Amino acid sequence: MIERHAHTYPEGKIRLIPFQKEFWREFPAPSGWVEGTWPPTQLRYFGEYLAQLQCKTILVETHYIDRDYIYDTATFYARNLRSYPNYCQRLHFFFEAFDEARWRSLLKDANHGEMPKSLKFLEKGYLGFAVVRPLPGSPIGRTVLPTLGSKTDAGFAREFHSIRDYVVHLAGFKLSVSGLAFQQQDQGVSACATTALWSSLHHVASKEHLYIPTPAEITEAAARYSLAGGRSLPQEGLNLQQISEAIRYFGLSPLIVESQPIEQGVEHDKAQLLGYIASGFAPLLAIRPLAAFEATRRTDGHALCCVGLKMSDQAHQTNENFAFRDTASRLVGLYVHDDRLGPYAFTKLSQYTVKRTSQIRTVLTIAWPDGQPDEDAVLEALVVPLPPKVRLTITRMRALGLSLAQATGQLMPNLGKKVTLNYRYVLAPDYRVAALGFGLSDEGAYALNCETVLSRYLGLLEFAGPNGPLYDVLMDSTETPANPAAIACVCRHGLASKELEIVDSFARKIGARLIK
Amino acid sequence: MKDERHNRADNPQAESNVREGELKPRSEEEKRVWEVLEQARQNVKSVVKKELEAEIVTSELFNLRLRTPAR
Repeated sequence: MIERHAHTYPEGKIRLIPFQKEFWREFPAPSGWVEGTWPPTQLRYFGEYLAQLQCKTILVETHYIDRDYIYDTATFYARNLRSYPNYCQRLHFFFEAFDEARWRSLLKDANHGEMPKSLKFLEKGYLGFAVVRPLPGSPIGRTVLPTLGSKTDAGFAREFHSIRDYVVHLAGFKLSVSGLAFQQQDQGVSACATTALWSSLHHVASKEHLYIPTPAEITEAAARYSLAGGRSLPQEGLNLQQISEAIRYFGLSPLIVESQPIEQGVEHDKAQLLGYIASGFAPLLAIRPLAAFEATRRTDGHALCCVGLKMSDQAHQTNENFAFRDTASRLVGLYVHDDRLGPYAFTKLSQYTVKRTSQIRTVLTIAWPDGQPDEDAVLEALVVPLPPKVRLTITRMRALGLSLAQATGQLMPNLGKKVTLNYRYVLAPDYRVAALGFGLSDEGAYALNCETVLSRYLGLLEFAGPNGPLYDVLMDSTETPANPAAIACVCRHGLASKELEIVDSFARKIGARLIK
Repeated sequence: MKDERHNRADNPQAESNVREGELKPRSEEEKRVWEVLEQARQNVKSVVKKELEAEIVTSELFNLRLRTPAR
Protein backbone atom coordinates (compact mmCIF):
# COMPACT_ATOMS: atom_id res chain seq x y z
CA MET A 1 0.00 0.00 0.00
CA ILE A 2 1.31 3.44 -0.88
CA GLU A 3 1.66 5.70 2.17
CA ARG A 4 -1.06 8.28 2.65
CA HIS A 5 0.31 11.78 2.34
CA ALA A 6 -1.91 14.84 2.87
CA HIS A 7 -5.15 12.92 2.76
CA THR A 8 -6.48 14.55 5.92
CA TYR A 9 -6.61 18.08 7.26
CA PRO A 10 -4.18 18.86 10.06
CA GLU A 11 -5.37 19.29 13.61
CA GLY A 12 -4.45 22.26 15.74
CA LYS A 13 -3.83 22.34 19.45
CA ILE A 14 -3.47 25.04 22.04
CA ARG A 15 -0.91 24.59 24.78
CA LEU A 16 -0.04 26.82 27.70
CA ILE A 17 3.41 27.04 29.15
CA PRO A 18 4.73 29.25 31.92
CA PHE A 19 7.21 31.86 30.69
CA GLN A 20 10.82 31.51 31.73
CA LYS A 21 13.55 34.04 31.11
CA GLU A 22 15.56 31.31 29.37
CA PHE A 23 12.98 31.53 26.60
CA TRP A 24 15.33 29.80 24.17
CA ARG A 25 14.93 26.54 26.11
CA GLU A 26 11.44 26.21 24.56
CA PHE A 27 13.07 25.84 21.14
CA PRO A 28 14.63 22.57 20.03
CA ALA A 29 18.24 22.97 18.93
CA PRO A 30 18.73 22.07 15.26
CA SER A 31 20.06 18.58 14.83
CA GLY A 32 23.18 18.42 12.74
CA TRP A 33 25.82 21.01 11.92
CA VAL A 34 24.68 24.62 11.57
CA GLU A 35 26.80 27.66 10.77
CA GLY A 36 25.32 29.87 13.46
CA THR A 37 25.55 29.47 17.22
CA TRP A 38 22.76 28.04 19.33
CA PRO A 39 20.72 29.52 20.87
CA PRO A 40 20.48 32.42 18.43
CA THR A 41 20.91 35.84 20.00
CA GLN A 42 17.34 36.71 19.04
CA LEU A 43 15.94 34.04 21.37
CA ARG A 44 18.08 35.26 24.26
CA TYR A 45 16.99 38.83 23.53
CA PHE A 46 13.32 37.81 23.44
CA GLY A 47 13.69 36.19 26.88
CA GLU A 48 15.16 39.40 28.28
CA TYR A 49 12.60 41.65 26.60
CA LEU A 50 9.57 39.56 27.59
CA ALA A 51 10.87 39.43 31.15
CA GLN A 52 10.94 43.25 31.14
CA LEU A 53 7.33 43.21 29.97
CA GLN A 54 6.65 40.89 32.94
CA CYS A 55 5.39 38.07 30.77
CA LYS A 56 4.03 35.14 32.80
CA THR A 57 2.34 32.83 30.31
CA ILE A 58 2.87 31.69 26.73
CA LEU A 59 -0.09 30.31 24.81
CA VAL A 60 0.98 28.21 21.82
CA GLU A 61 -1.15 27.71 18.71
CA THR A 62 0.43 24.69 17.09
CA HIS A 63 -0.95 25.28 13.59
CA TYR A 64 -0.93 28.79 12.23
CA ILE A 65 -0.81 29.90 8.60
CA ASP A 66 1.34 33.00 8.40
CA ARG A 67 0.98 35.15 5.28
CA ASP A 68 4.65 36.11 5.18
CA TYR A 69 6.00 32.63 5.75
CA ILE A 70 3.68 30.86 3.32
CA TYR A 71 4.82 33.25 0.59
CA ASP A 72 8.45 32.55 1.57
CA THR A 73 7.64 28.85 1.25
CA ALA A 74 6.06 29.29 -2.17
CA THR A 75 8.98 31.36 -3.39
CA PHE A 76 11.84 29.41 -1.92
CA TYR A 77 11.38 26.61 0.61
CA ALA A 78 8.97 24.51 -1.46
CA ARG A 79 11.93 23.56 -3.67
CA ASN A 80 14.15 22.40 -0.81
CA LEU A 81 14.95 18.73 -0.46
CA ARG A 82 13.75 18.82 3.13
CA SER A 83 9.97 19.06 3.23
CA TYR A 84 9.28 22.23 5.16
CA PRO A 85 5.68 22.54 6.32
CA ASN A 86 3.76 25.53 4.99
CA TYR A 87 2.43 26.34 8.44
CA CYS A 88 3.95 27.80 11.57
CA GLN A 89 3.24 27.93 15.27
CA ARG A 90 2.18 31.14 16.95
CA LEU A 91 3.06 32.13 20.48
CA HIS A 92 0.91 34.59 22.42
CA PHE A 93 2.37 36.28 25.46
CA PHE A 94 0.37 37.23 28.54
CA PHE A 95 1.06 39.30 31.60
CA GLU A 96 -1.29 37.10 33.71
CA ALA A 97 -0.32 33.64 34.92
CA PHE A 98 -2.91 31.05 33.88
CA ASP A 99 -3.00 27.39 32.94
CA GLU A 100 -4.92 25.21 30.52
CA ALA A 101 -7.83 24.74 32.92
CA ARG A 102 -8.24 28.51 33.16
CA TRP A 103 -8.00 28.83 29.37
CA ARG A 104 -10.72 26.22 28.93
CA SER A 105 -12.92 28.03 31.44
CA LEU A 106 -12.43 31.32 29.56
CA LEU A 107 -13.66 29.69 26.37
CA LYS A 108 -16.50 27.98 28.25
CA ASP A 109 -17.61 31.30 29.76
CA ALA A 110 -17.55 32.91 26.33
CA ASN A 111 -19.62 30.03 25.00
CA HIS A 112 -22.21 30.69 27.70
CA GLY A 113 -22.77 34.37 26.98
CA GLU A 114 -19.92 35.79 29.02
CA MET A 115 -17.61 36.81 26.19
CA PRO A 116 -16.96 40.32 27.65
CA LYS A 117 -15.71 38.80 30.91
CA SER A 118 -13.32 36.38 29.19
CA LEU A 119 -12.21 39.02 26.71
CA LYS A 120 -11.51 41.49 29.50
CA PHE A 121 -9.18 39.00 31.18
CA LEU A 122 -7.29 38.23 27.97
CA GLU A 123 -7.13 41.82 26.71
CA LYS A 124 -5.83 43.11 30.02
CA GLY A 125 -2.77 40.98 29.99
CA TYR A 126 -2.06 40.56 26.27
CA LEU A 127 1.56 41.24 25.35
CA GLY A 128 1.56 40.38 21.65
CA PHE A 129 2.62 37.42 19.57
CA ALA A 130 5.50 35.77 17.76
CA VAL A 131 5.19 33.43 14.78
CA VAL A 132 7.57 30.48 15.02
CA ARG A 133 8.62 29.28 11.58
CA PRO A 134 9.55 25.64 11.00
CA LEU A 135 13.06 26.78 10.07
CA PRO A 136 15.44 25.22 12.59
CA GLY A 137 18.12 27.90 12.47
CA SER A 138 15.94 31.02 12.15
CA PRO A 139 12.64 30.33 13.86
CA ILE A 140 11.46 33.87 14.68
CA GLY A 141 8.90 35.00 12.12
CA ARG A 142 6.48 37.91 12.24
CA THR A 143 6.45 39.22 15.78
CA VAL A 144 4.62 42.14 17.30
CA LEU A 145 5.40 43.10 20.87
CA PRO A 146 4.52 46.28 22.72
CA THR A 147 7.13 48.93 23.40
CA LEU A 148 8.48 49.63 26.86
CA GLY A 149 6.95 52.52 28.85
CA SER A 150 7.18 56.19 27.93
CA LYS A 151 9.90 56.93 30.52
CA THR A 152 13.15 55.16 31.24
CA ASP A 153 14.30 54.60 34.85
CA ALA A 154 16.70 57.52 34.43
CA GLY A 155 13.88 59.83 33.32
CA PHE A 156 14.50 59.92 29.57
CA ALA A 157 11.46 59.93 27.30
CA ARG A 158 10.80 57.03 24.94
CA GLU A 159 8.88 58.10 21.85
CA PHE A 160 7.51 55.64 19.32
CA HIS A 161 5.85 57.29 16.34
CA SER A 162 6.02 54.34 13.91
CA ILE A 163 3.91 51.83 15.78
CA ARG A 164 0.37 50.81 14.91
CA ASP A 165 -2.36 48.51 16.16
CA TYR A 166 -2.37 44.88 15.03
CA VAL A 167 -5.59 42.91 15.44
CA VAL A 168 -5.12 39.31 16.57
CA HIS A 169 -7.76 36.59 16.30
CA LEU A 170 -7.26 33.83 18.83
CA ALA A 171 -9.84 31.07 19.19
CA GLY A 172 -12.73 33.49 18.64
CA PHE A 173 -11.28 36.24 20.81
CA LYS A 174 -10.31 39.47 19.12
CA LEU A 175 -7.26 40.97 20.77
CA SER A 176 -4.91 43.76 19.74
CA VAL A 177 -1.35 44.83 20.30
CA SER A 178 0.34 48.10 19.45
CA GLY A 179 3.85 47.83 18.04
CA LEU A 180 5.80 47.39 14.81
CA ALA A 181 6.33 43.99 13.24
CA PHE A 182 9.76 42.39 13.53
CA GLN A 183 11.25 39.20 12.15
CA GLN A 184 14.58 37.43 12.04
CA GLN A 185 16.39 37.24 8.70
CA ASP A 186 16.32 33.68 7.36
CA GLN A 187 19.09 34.12 4.77
CA GLY A 188 16.85 32.26 2.34
CA VAL A 189 14.49 34.96 1.09
CA SER A 190 15.61 37.76 3.40
CA ALA A 191 18.74 39.40 4.71
CA CYS A 192 19.00 42.33 7.11
CA ALA A 193 18.00 44.94 4.53
CA THR A 194 14.91 42.97 3.51
CA THR A 195 13.59 42.58 7.05
CA ALA A 196 14.42 46.19 7.95
CA LEU A 197 12.49 47.42 4.89
CA TRP A 198 9.65 45.00 5.62
CA SER A 199 9.31 46.46 9.14
CA SER A 200 9.44 50.01 7.84
CA LEU A 201 6.75 49.34 5.22
CA HIS A 202 4.52 47.77 7.85
CA HIS A 203 3.90 51.25 9.19
CA VAL A 204 3.98 53.61 6.24
CA ALA A 205 2.20 51.30 3.78
CA SER A 206 -0.53 50.70 6.31
CA LYS A 207 -0.88 54.44 6.95
CA GLU A 208 -1.08 55.12 3.21
CA HIS A 209 -3.51 52.21 2.63
CA LEU A 210 -0.98 50.47 0.39
CA TYR A 211 -0.25 46.77 0.09
CA ILE A 212 2.20 45.47 2.69
CA PRO A 213 4.65 43.17 0.92
CA THR A 214 6.12 39.97 2.32
CA PRO A 215 9.92 39.58 2.61
CA ALA A 216 9.96 37.38 -0.48
CA GLU A 217 8.06 40.01 -2.47
CA ILE A 218 10.51 42.69 -1.32
CA THR A 219 13.43 40.56 -2.48
CA GLU A 220 11.78 39.94 -5.85
CA ALA A 221 11.02 43.64 -6.32
CA ALA A 222 14.53 44.67 -5.29
CA ALA A 223 16.19 42.26 -7.71
CA ARG A 224 14.06 43.05 -10.77
CA TYR A 225 16.63 45.27 -12.45
CA SER A 226 19.80 44.89 -10.45
CA LEU A 227 21.58 41.91 -8.96
CA ALA A 228 24.24 43.23 -6.62
CA GLY A 229 25.30 39.85 -5.26
CA GLY A 230 24.92 37.87 -8.49
CA ARG A 231 21.73 36.07 -7.46
CA SER A 232 18.64 37.11 -5.60
CA LEU A 233 17.96 33.83 -3.78
CA PRO A 234 19.33 32.77 -1.39
CA GLN A 235 19.28 36.37 -0.31
CA GLU A 236 22.76 37.81 0.21
CA GLY A 237 21.96 41.41 0.93
CA LEU A 238 20.65 44.43 -0.93
CA ASN A 239 22.37 47.64 -1.92
CA LEU A 240 20.75 51.05 -1.59
CA GLN A 241 19.81 51.05 -5.25
CA GLN A 242 17.90 47.80 -4.84
CA ILE A 243 16.25 49.02 -1.66
CA SER A 244 15.15 52.15 -3.51
CA GLU A 245 13.78 50.05 -6.36
CA ALA A 246 11.74 47.92 -3.94
CA ILE A 247 10.35 51.02 -2.20
CA ARG A 248 9.31 52.47 -5.56
CA TYR A 249 7.74 49.17 -6.63
CA PHE A 250 5.43 49.23 -3.63
CA GLY A 251 4.13 52.73 -4.35
CA LEU A 252 6.38 54.84 -2.16
CA SER A 253 9.20 57.20 -2.87
CA PRO A 254 12.71 56.45 -1.55
CA LEU A 255 14.61 59.36 -0.04
CA ILE A 256 18.28 58.74 0.72
CA VAL A 257 20.06 61.10 3.09
CA GLU A 258 23.78 60.59 3.47
CA SER A 259 25.25 60.98 6.94
CA GLN A 260 27.14 64.27 7.37
CA PRO A 261 30.12 64.96 9.63
CA ILE A 262 29.42 67.03 12.73
CA GLU A 263 30.80 70.53 12.28
CA GLN A 264 30.63 73.52 14.64
CA GLY A 265 28.49 71.48 17.00
CA VAL A 266 25.70 71.03 14.44
CA GLU A 267 24.54 67.43 14.44
CA HIS A 268 22.95 67.12 11.02
CA ASP A 269 22.29 63.40 11.38
CA LYS A 270 20.34 63.85 14.59
CA ALA A 271 18.19 66.48 12.92
CA GLN A 272 17.37 64.13 10.04
CA LEU A 273 16.70 61.21 12.38
CA LEU A 274 14.45 63.31 14.58
CA GLY A 275 12.50 64.80 11.69
CA TYR A 276 11.68 61.54 9.95
CA ILE A 277 11.22 59.31 12.98
CA ALA A 278 9.02 61.82 14.83
CA SER A 279 6.87 61.99 11.67
CA GLY A 280 6.21 58.24 11.78
CA PHE A 281 8.36 57.34 8.77
CA ALA A 282 10.49 54.53 10.17
CA PRO A 283 13.74 55.01 8.21
CA LEU A 284 16.22 52.30 7.36
CA LEU A 285 19.63 53.07 8.76
CA ALA A 286 22.65 51.93 6.77
CA ILE A 287 25.56 51.44 9.18
CA ARG A 288 29.12 50.09 8.93
CA PRO A 289 31.33 48.78 11.73
CA LEU A 290 33.70 51.44 12.98
CA ALA A 291 36.73 49.22 12.44
CA ALA A 292 35.79 48.81 8.80
CA PHE A 293 35.17 52.52 8.49
CA GLU A 294 38.68 53.29 9.72
CA ALA A 295 40.15 50.97 7.12
CA THR A 296 40.28 52.07 3.51
CA ARG A 297 38.94 48.84 2.09
CA ARG A 298 35.33 48.72 1.01
CA THR A 299 33.12 46.63 3.25
CA ASP A 300 29.48 45.72 3.39
CA GLY A 301 27.16 47.35 5.88
CA HIS A 302 24.19 46.42 8.00
CA ALA A 303 20.58 47.65 7.94
CA LEU A 304 18.36 48.58 10.86
CA CYS A 305 14.79 49.80 10.99
CA CYS A 306 14.48 52.79 13.29
CA VAL A 307 11.28 52.79 15.33
CA GLY A 308 11.72 55.13 18.28
CA LEU A 309 13.58 57.96 19.95
CA LYS A 310 15.15 58.33 23.37
CA MET A 311 14.98 62.00 24.33
CA SER A 312 16.36 64.06 27.19
CA ASP A 313 14.21 66.77 28.79
CA GLN A 314 15.91 69.93 27.62
CA ALA A 315 17.25 71.04 24.29
CA HIS A 316 20.60 72.79 24.53
CA GLN A 317 22.50 75.26 22.45
CA THR A 318 24.95 73.45 20.18
CA ASN A 319 26.55 76.48 18.53
CA GLU A 320 27.33 79.71 20.35
CA ASN A 321 26.52 81.76 17.27
CA PHE A 322 22.96 80.53 17.23
CA ALA A 323 20.23 82.30 19.18
CA PHE A 324 18.05 79.19 19.35
CA ARG A 325 18.08 75.53 20.33
CA ASP A 326 17.46 72.61 18.07
CA THR A 327 15.13 69.89 19.39
CA ALA A 328 17.54 67.39 17.83
CA SER A 329 19.95 68.19 20.69
CA ARG A 330 17.54 66.30 22.98
CA LEU A 331 18.10 63.08 21.02
CA VAL A 332 20.36 60.69 22.95
CA GLY A 333 19.52 57.33 21.40
CA LEU A 334 17.30 55.30 19.13
CA TYR A 335 15.14 52.21 19.40
CA VAL A 336 15.73 49.98 16.42
CA HIS A 337 14.60 46.67 15.02
CA ASP A 338 17.91 44.87 14.54
CA ASP A 339 17.31 41.45 13.06
CA ARG A 340 20.56 40.22 14.64
CA LEU A 341 18.98 40.95 17.99
CA GLY A 342 15.31 41.81 18.31
CA PRO A 343 12.67 44.53 18.33
CA TYR A 344 13.13 47.94 19.98
CA ALA A 345 16.82 47.38 20.74
CA PHE A 346 18.36 50.47 22.28
CA THR A 347 21.25 52.10 20.48
CA LYS A 348 23.18 54.98 21.95
CA LEU A 349 24.15 57.87 19.69
CA SER A 350 27.57 59.39 20.16
CA GLN A 351 30.31 61.17 18.26
CA TYR A 352 33.58 59.72 17.05
CA THR A 353 36.54 61.35 15.36
CA VAL A 354 37.61 59.13 12.49
CA LYS A 355 41.39 58.86 12.60
CA ARG A 356 41.72 58.47 8.87
CA THR A 357 39.82 61.64 7.98
CA SER A 358 39.59 63.61 11.27
CA GLN A 359 35.89 63.96 10.64
CA ILE A 360 33.48 63.72 13.56
CA ARG A 361 30.87 61.14 12.69
CA THR A 362 27.66 59.84 14.27
CA VAL A 363 28.26 56.49 15.91
CA LEU A 364 25.67 53.96 17.08
CA THR A 365 26.32 51.53 19.90
CA ILE A 366 23.74 48.79 20.21
CA ALA A 367 23.28 47.21 23.63
CA TRP A 368 23.06 43.42 23.70
CA PRO A 369 20.89 41.44 26.13
CA ASP A 370 23.73 40.72 28.52
CA GLY A 371 24.41 44.45 28.79
CA GLN A 372 27.58 44.24 26.72
CA PRO A 373 27.78 46.87 24.00
CA ASP A 374 28.19 45.60 20.47
CA GLU A 375 30.94 46.98 18.29
CA ASP A 376 30.41 50.63 17.39
CA ALA A 377 29.02 51.34 13.96
CA VAL A 378 29.15 54.52 11.90
CA LEU A 379 25.94 55.85 10.40
CA GLU A 380 26.25 55.91 6.61
CA ALA A 381 22.78 56.92 5.48
CA LEU A 382 19.07 57.02 6.11
CA VAL A 383 16.67 55.55 3.56
CA VAL A 384 13.16 56.86 4.10
CA PRO A 385 10.16 55.38 2.28
CA LEU A 386 7.99 58.47 1.80
CA PRO A 387 4.54 58.89 0.27
CA PRO A 388 5.22 60.10 -3.30
CA LYS A 389 3.54 63.46 -2.83
CA VAL A 390 5.86 64.38 0.04
CA ARG A 391 8.48 66.29 -1.95
CA LEU A 392 9.51 68.77 0.71
CA THR A 393 12.31 67.19 2.71
CA ILE A 394 13.24 67.77 6.34
CA THR A 395 16.34 69.58 5.07
CA ARG A 396 14.27 72.09 3.15
CA MET A 397 11.93 72.55 6.08
CA ARG A 398 14.95 73.22 8.22
CA ALA A 399 16.30 75.76 5.74
CA LEU A 400 13.35 78.01 6.54
CA GLY A 401 13.07 76.86 10.16
CA LEU A 402 16.69 77.60 11.05
CA SER A 403 16.46 81.14 9.61
CA LEU A 404 13.22 81.87 11.43
CA ALA A 405 14.49 80.37 14.70
CA GLN A 406 17.66 82.44 14.52
CA ALA A 407 15.70 85.62 13.79
CA THR A 408 13.14 84.82 16.50
CA GLY A 409 15.91 84.35 19.06
CA GLN A 410 17.45 87.68 18.09
CA LEU A 411 14.21 89.65 17.92
CA MET A 412 12.78 88.22 21.15
CA PRO A 413 15.76 88.63 23.53
CA ASN A 414 13.50 88.21 26.57
CA LEU A 415 13.36 84.49 25.72
CA GLY A 416 17.06 84.27 26.60
CA LYS A 417 18.12 82.21 23.57
CA LYS A 418 15.67 79.55 24.67
CA VAL A 419 13.72 79.52 21.43
CA THR A 420 13.47 75.88 20.39
CA LEU A 421 12.96 74.71 16.83
CA ASN A 422 11.18 71.47 16.03
CA TYR A 423 10.25 70.07 12.60
CA ARG A 424 8.23 67.14 11.39
CA TYR A 425 5.41 66.13 9.08
CA VAL A 426 1.84 65.93 10.30
CA LEU A 427 -1.37 64.98 8.56
CA ALA A 428 -3.42 68.11 7.88
CA PRO A 429 -6.62 66.69 9.42
CA ASP A 430 -4.70 65.90 12.62
CA TYR A 431 -3.30 69.43 12.74
CA ARG A 432 -6.74 70.96 12.24
CA VAL A 433 -8.10 68.91 15.16
CA ALA A 434 -5.17 69.92 17.37
CA ALA A 435 -5.49 73.58 16.35
CA LEU A 436 -8.96 73.76 17.86
CA GLY A 437 -7.20 73.41 21.20
CA PHE A 438 -4.64 76.16 20.57
CA GLY A 439 -6.80 78.97 21.95
CA LEU A 440 -7.01 80.75 18.58
CA SER A 441 -9.59 83.50 18.13
CA ASP A 442 -12.85 82.38 16.53
CA GLU A 443 -11.82 84.18 13.35
CA GLY A 444 -8.42 82.49 13.43
CA ALA A 445 -9.87 79.01 13.97
CA TYR A 446 -12.34 79.61 11.13
CA ALA A 447 -9.62 80.93 8.82
CA LEU A 448 -7.40 77.91 9.47
CA ASN A 449 -9.99 75.17 9.40
CA CYS A 450 -12.41 76.48 6.76
CA GLU A 451 -10.52 78.89 4.53
CA THR A 452 -6.93 77.62 4.37
CA VAL A 453 -6.21 74.87 1.88
CA LEU A 454 -3.59 72.46 3.21
CA SER A 455 -1.60 69.61 1.66
CA ARG A 456 -2.38 66.13 3.08
CA TYR A 457 0.99 66.01 4.78
CA LEU A 458 2.09 69.32 6.23
CA GLY A 459 5.68 70.28 6.86
CA LEU A 460 5.36 71.63 10.39
CA LEU A 461 7.89 74.00 11.93
CA GLU A 462 7.28 74.56 15.64
CA PHE A 463 8.88 77.42 17.54
CA ALA A 464 8.64 77.30 21.31
CA GLY A 465 9.89 79.44 24.17
CA PRO A 466 10.32 78.78 27.89
CA ASN A 467 6.59 79.37 28.42
CA GLY A 468 5.33 77.12 25.68
CA PRO A 469 4.72 77.20 21.93
CA LEU A 470 5.22 80.58 20.21
CA TYR A 471 4.09 79.93 16.65
CA ASP A 472 3.95 77.25 13.97
CA VAL A 473 4.74 77.54 10.30
CA LEU A 474 2.76 75.23 8.02
CA MET A 475 4.49 74.22 4.80
CA ASP A 476 3.13 72.60 1.67
CA SER A 477 4.88 69.23 1.50
CA THR A 478 4.05 68.77 -2.19
CA GLU A 479 6.09 71.77 -3.29
CA THR A 480 9.42 71.76 -5.13
CA PRO A 481 12.53 73.74 -4.13
CA ALA A 482 11.91 76.33 -6.85
CA ASN A 483 8.69 77.62 -5.32
CA PRO A 484 7.77 79.10 -1.95
CA ALA A 485 6.06 76.54 0.28
CA ALA A 486 4.98 78.39 3.44
CA ILE A 487 1.20 78.37 3.77
CA ALA A 488 0.46 79.83 7.18
CA CYS A 489 1.94 81.12 10.43
CA VAL A 490 -0.24 80.00 13.32
CA CYS A 491 0.18 81.91 16.59
CA ARG A 492 0.32 79.89 19.80
CA HIS A 493 -0.39 80.74 23.42
CA GLY A 494 3.24 81.36 24.41
CA LEU A 495 3.46 84.39 22.11
CA ALA A 496 3.19 87.78 23.85
CA SER A 497 1.08 90.42 22.12
CA LYS A 498 4.11 92.62 21.35
CA GLU A 499 5.79 89.62 19.68
CA LEU A 500 2.78 89.06 17.46
CA GLU A 501 3.89 91.92 15.19
CA ILE A 502 7.22 90.18 14.63
CA VAL A 503 5.50 86.96 13.57
CA ASP A 504 3.16 89.01 11.39
CA SER A 505 6.20 90.48 9.63
CA PHE A 506 7.73 87.01 9.23
CA ALA A 507 4.47 85.82 7.68
CA ARG A 508 4.46 88.67 5.15
CA LYS A 509 8.07 88.04 4.23
CA ILE A 510 7.66 84.31 3.64
CA GLY A 511 4.31 84.70 1.86
CA ALA A 512 2.27 82.93 4.53
CA ARG A 513 -1.12 83.73 5.97
CA LEU A 514 -1.12 84.91 9.60
CA ILE A 515 -3.57 83.04 11.78
CA LYS A 516 -4.03 84.28 15.35
CA MET B 1 -3.39 89.12 -15.66
CA LYS B 2 -5.97 86.68 -14.29
CA ASP B 3 -4.55 83.73 -16.25
CA GLU B 4 -1.06 84.36 -15.01
CA ARG B 5 -2.12 84.40 -11.37
CA HIS B 6 -4.08 81.18 -11.06
CA ASN B 7 -1.22 79.09 -9.65
CA ARG B 8 -0.20 81.47 -6.92
CA ALA B 9 -0.88 80.83 -3.24
CA ASP B 10 -4.40 81.62 -2.15
CA ASN B 11 -3.17 84.30 0.15
CA PRO B 12 -4.72 87.76 -0.03
CA GLN B 13 -1.78 89.30 1.80
CA ALA B 14 0.73 87.82 -0.60
CA GLU B 15 -1.44 88.69 -3.59
CA SER B 16 -1.67 92.33 -2.62
CA ASN B 17 2.10 92.41 -2.29
CA VAL B 18 2.49 90.85 -5.71
CA ARG B 19 0.15 93.42 -7.18
CA GLU B 20 2.39 96.13 -5.82
CA GLY B 21 5.38 94.50 -7.41
CA GLU B 22 8.30 94.11 -5.05
CA LEU B 23 7.37 93.30 -1.45
CA LYS B 24 7.80 96.40 0.69
CA PRO B 25 7.86 96.68 4.48
CA ARG B 26 4.85 98.37 6.02
CA SER B 27 6.88 100.12 8.70
CA GLU B 28 10.40 100.77 9.92
CA GLU B 29 9.91 98.03 12.50
CA GLU B 30 8.95 95.54 9.82
CA LYS B 31 11.96 96.60 7.77
CA ARG B 32 14.18 95.82 10.76
CA VAL B 33 12.52 92.43 11.26
CA TRP B 34 13.16 91.53 7.63
CA GLU B 35 16.77 92.64 7.87
CA VAL B 36 17.27 90.44 10.91
CA LEU B 37 15.61 87.55 9.09
CA GLU B 38 17.88 88.03 6.09
CA GLN B 39 20.91 88.15 8.38
CA ALA B 40 19.67 84.97 10.09
CA ARG B 41 19.46 83.29 6.71
CA GLN B 42 23.12 84.15 6.13
CA ASN B 43 24.03 82.88 9.63
CA VAL B 44 22.61 79.41 8.99
CA LYS B 45 23.55 79.20 5.31
CA SER B 46 26.51 76.87 5.85
CA VAL B 47 24.36 74.45 7.88
CA VAL B 48 21.70 74.36 5.18
CA LYS B 49 24.30 73.90 2.45
CA LYS B 50 25.78 70.91 4.27
CA GLU B 51 22.39 69.31 4.69
CA LEU B 52 21.39 69.87 1.08
CA GLU B 53 24.60 68.13 0.04
CA ALA B 54 23.52 65.10 2.08
CA GLU B 55 20.55 64.61 -0.26
CA ILE B 56 22.81 64.22 -3.30
CA VAL B 57 23.54 60.52 -3.36
CA THR B 58 26.95 59.38 -4.54
CA SER B 59 27.28 56.23 -6.62
CA GLU B 60 29.51 54.74 -3.92
CA LEU B 61 26.73 55.11 -1.35
CA PHE B 62 24.12 53.89 -3.82
CA ASN B 63 26.12 50.69 -4.25
CA LEU B 64 26.73 50.07 -0.55
CA ARG B 65 25.53 46.54 0.11
CA LEU B 66 23.79 45.78 3.39
CA ARG B 67 24.14 42.15 4.28
CA THR B 68 25.37 41.52 7.82
CA PRO B 69 24.40 37.95 8.67
CA ALA B 70 22.66 37.05 11.90
CA ARG B 71 24.92 36.43 14.89
